[in-house]
Amino acid sequence: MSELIPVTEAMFEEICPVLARFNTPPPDSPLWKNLLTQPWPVEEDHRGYALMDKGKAVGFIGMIFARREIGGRIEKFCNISSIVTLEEHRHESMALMMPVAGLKDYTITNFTPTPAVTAVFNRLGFEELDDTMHILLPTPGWPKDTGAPKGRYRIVTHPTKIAERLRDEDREIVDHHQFQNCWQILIDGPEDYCLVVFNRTKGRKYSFSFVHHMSNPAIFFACLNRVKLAMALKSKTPFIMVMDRHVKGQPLGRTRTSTIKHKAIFKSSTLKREQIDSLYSELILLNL
Amino acid sequence: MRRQGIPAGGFRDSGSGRTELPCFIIAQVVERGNSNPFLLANRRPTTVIPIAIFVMLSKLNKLIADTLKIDESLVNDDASMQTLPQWDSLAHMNLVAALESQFSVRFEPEDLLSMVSVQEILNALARFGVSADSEPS
Repeated sequence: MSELIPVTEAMFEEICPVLARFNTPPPDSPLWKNLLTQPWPVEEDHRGYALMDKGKAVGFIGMIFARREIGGRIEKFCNISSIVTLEEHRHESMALMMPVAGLKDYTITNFTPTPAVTAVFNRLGFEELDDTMHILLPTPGWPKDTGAPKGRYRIVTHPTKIAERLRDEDREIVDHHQFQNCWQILIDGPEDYCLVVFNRTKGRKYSFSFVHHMSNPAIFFACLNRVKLAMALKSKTPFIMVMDRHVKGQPLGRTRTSTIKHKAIFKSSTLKREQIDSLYSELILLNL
Repeated sequence: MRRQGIPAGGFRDSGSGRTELPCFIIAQVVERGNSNPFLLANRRPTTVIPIAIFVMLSKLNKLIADTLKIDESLVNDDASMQTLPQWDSLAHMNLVAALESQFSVRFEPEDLLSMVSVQEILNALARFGVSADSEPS
């Protein structure tokens, strides 16, 4: 019978053999280390659990913890990632899910669940987070009234100038997401701003700028033409991918809309799905 | 392990005629591999279990076989996720749903994640008071 033990930052070499089962990113990619060495402070003393059989890792479940201020409250987050069991220990895979069942008062997300994981997590009270994504095409459109405060907006891309304008909780987000292939732009206006955090992700045929966070969708879409250009210059791809729950009711312009095959799931007793983005997750740490 | 049914009413003794046994110990004889073989000829059951438990186990094993879409003969009291390759995570959740429907129970998350063998399932059902004495719905 294998033993379930918490995984700390120092145990990366021990879990490498099970992480090698994943192809994205490649097994030898240095990104895998990000799973255990997250650049933001956390109160939890582990980064997931490993199933150990005679001192050898035979299974792993990653847990990416974070504290964020949302709606004036400090919320606890846990993003579940990289669930894997070696074939000969498949019968012990249920044990890996036990720590998830034990997480109380967390908003728990899984952005890349397999169908089997979805079936188990649904039974643990998880719901679908989003099933629709929009690809914003690189064609200009007429500006539309989005409900954003009237006034002139400027697009800021320099990190230092972005940081000067931000509220504390947003400055923390920027500090915590200084990764290769992860960028921020600021749409700064007279009354408010919109902070956009995005990375470059590869689809089947094309690469996209995937928007993980936009603090004010009304401002984002009010300045859409210029935002598209600014993001394309950073990520070197003209296509932008946004999730439906963040942009409901906004004029999207020319888009391609499609249903997601493997839907992200979440469980929260305090937050609605619109309040949950994909910051502090494997999508950024592993550049998925 | 192979089971053989014995008709209710008792054993027939070739020497002295029909031997009646009290109903509550009319037993199902279980043959367990190479140990304690049941010697039908001598009519000396070496391992007996109450018929009610046999019925419970049979229903449970049939439910498992139906859910996993395998032959019932492949499911025995030692069956688990380790011994049956068809019993994967997806099949496990289907099995949990079938058990909850069959026995009108709702498993806690900790229970459903640990019910990875027939024995563990029986233990979990017993915590709900579902035992050989209770009838599944």
